[in-house]
Amino acid sequence: MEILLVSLGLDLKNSDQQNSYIHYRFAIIIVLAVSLMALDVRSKVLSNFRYYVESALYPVLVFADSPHYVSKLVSSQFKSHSELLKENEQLSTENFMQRADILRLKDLESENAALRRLLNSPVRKDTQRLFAEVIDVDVDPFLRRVIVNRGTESSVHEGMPVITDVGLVGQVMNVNYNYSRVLLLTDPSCSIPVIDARSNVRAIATGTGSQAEIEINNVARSADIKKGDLLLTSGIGGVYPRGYPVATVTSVGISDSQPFASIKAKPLVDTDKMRFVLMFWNNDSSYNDNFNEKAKPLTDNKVILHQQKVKDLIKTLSVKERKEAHD
Amino acid sequence: MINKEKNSSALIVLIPSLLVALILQIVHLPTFLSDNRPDLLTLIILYFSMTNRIKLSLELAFFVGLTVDLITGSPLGIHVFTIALQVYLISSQFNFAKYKIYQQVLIVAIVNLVTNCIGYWLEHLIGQRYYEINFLYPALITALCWPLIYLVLQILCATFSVVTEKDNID
Repeated sequence: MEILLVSLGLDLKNSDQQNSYIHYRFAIIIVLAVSLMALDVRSKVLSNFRYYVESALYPVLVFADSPHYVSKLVSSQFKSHSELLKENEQLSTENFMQRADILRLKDLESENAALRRLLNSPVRKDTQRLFAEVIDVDVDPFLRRVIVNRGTESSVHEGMPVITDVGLVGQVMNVNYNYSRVLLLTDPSCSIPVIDARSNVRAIATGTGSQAEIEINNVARSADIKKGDLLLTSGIGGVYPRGYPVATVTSVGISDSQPFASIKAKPLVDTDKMRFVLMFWNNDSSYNDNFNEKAKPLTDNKVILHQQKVKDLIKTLSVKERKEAHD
Repeated sequence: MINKEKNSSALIVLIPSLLVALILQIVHLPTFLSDNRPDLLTLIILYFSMTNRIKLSLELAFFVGLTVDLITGSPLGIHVFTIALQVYLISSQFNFAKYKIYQQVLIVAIVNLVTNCIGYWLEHLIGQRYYEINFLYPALITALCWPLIYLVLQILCATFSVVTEKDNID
């Protein structure tokens, strides 16, 4: 860097000569820029370089967030006493209701586990969660990404699903030492396997780049998706666990000239306004357990019953044949 | 030759102004403003290149562009490309310093628009998919910022009595 600064201040004897080189210098810089782009995007040669430099630039991001932070701080200082009391009351009521809900949830969870065991399917286990704060938004208006303040030090990894209390947000696309980039579900390069909560139709939701809309492509015109349906993650693909709400369908356009229906949905999470997110990962051991766990072998009684049924079937068939032979 | 001890290098104005512009580039703003953010970094490099206060303006554009890429997380090289292209086009193809101010504004607007279009096209080639296109307003706002930047930097350079290259040669 020092060398650069010195060279910028250096006096050249002949400015015309300097100007005549400008085309060559420009050509070199353009070649460098394009090859950097190609290296960065096409191959992952520079990913280590990016990791270290971007980690070092974390304070800059925090600094860029400071106006937002300060305004929040100031506005929270000026809340009146009565407002605080009111909010406190409201929160405690909410908390009470949610505690009651959790009591029921525990019961339902154990019941669900028991039922799943009865059905011989593996029991789903709890996932580990991590609380994170959104510290920056990528300023590029075309990219839908945010930066959260957790990185490899909290063992965040690429591909982790990110949610809020309302619904799915997206997944981690890039991890640095103490922060990571989250690809929002509204980004055009983000696709989420979803399932219609009402009709169980599977589909893939893709971002459009607009904050208020995602679209569902390649769904047949006859598919049973209606306006107002809730879309949940389907768990297919392994990145997003199943059952988290993603969006509500806002319009279903069917035209005879198109082979597929054009379906639009509105994400439940307002990605422009969220401040806190939850990141969570499928615990590696439990994840493997789920796959290693095999369905229970059928009990002896069941086997016998099954064999009995087959025998009966054969008998009835043979009786019929005999009857036919007698006739 | 002007007495050197009285005059300071261009860096004394250049580096702080670049830092301020860089922070304005990444700071949080309401959506309406952040979609139409003016390209202040380019304007500052352009000013110093136009007034001959720095020689290696393209190389400077390279490093500034690289920093912006790293901070904003866009593909490495895209801001290098757009900033260097603008500085190159204006400083090599036009006799920029001799134009009237409204002509300069017009040139900045057109070059900014064209460069952004090329940058968009290049990113598309590389495989970044974009759908929202908003070129016109940022270009216009950038161009309208040019007289302001020019004035501010002119005053700053006068206060710190920054030398131009021509002064040094005489």
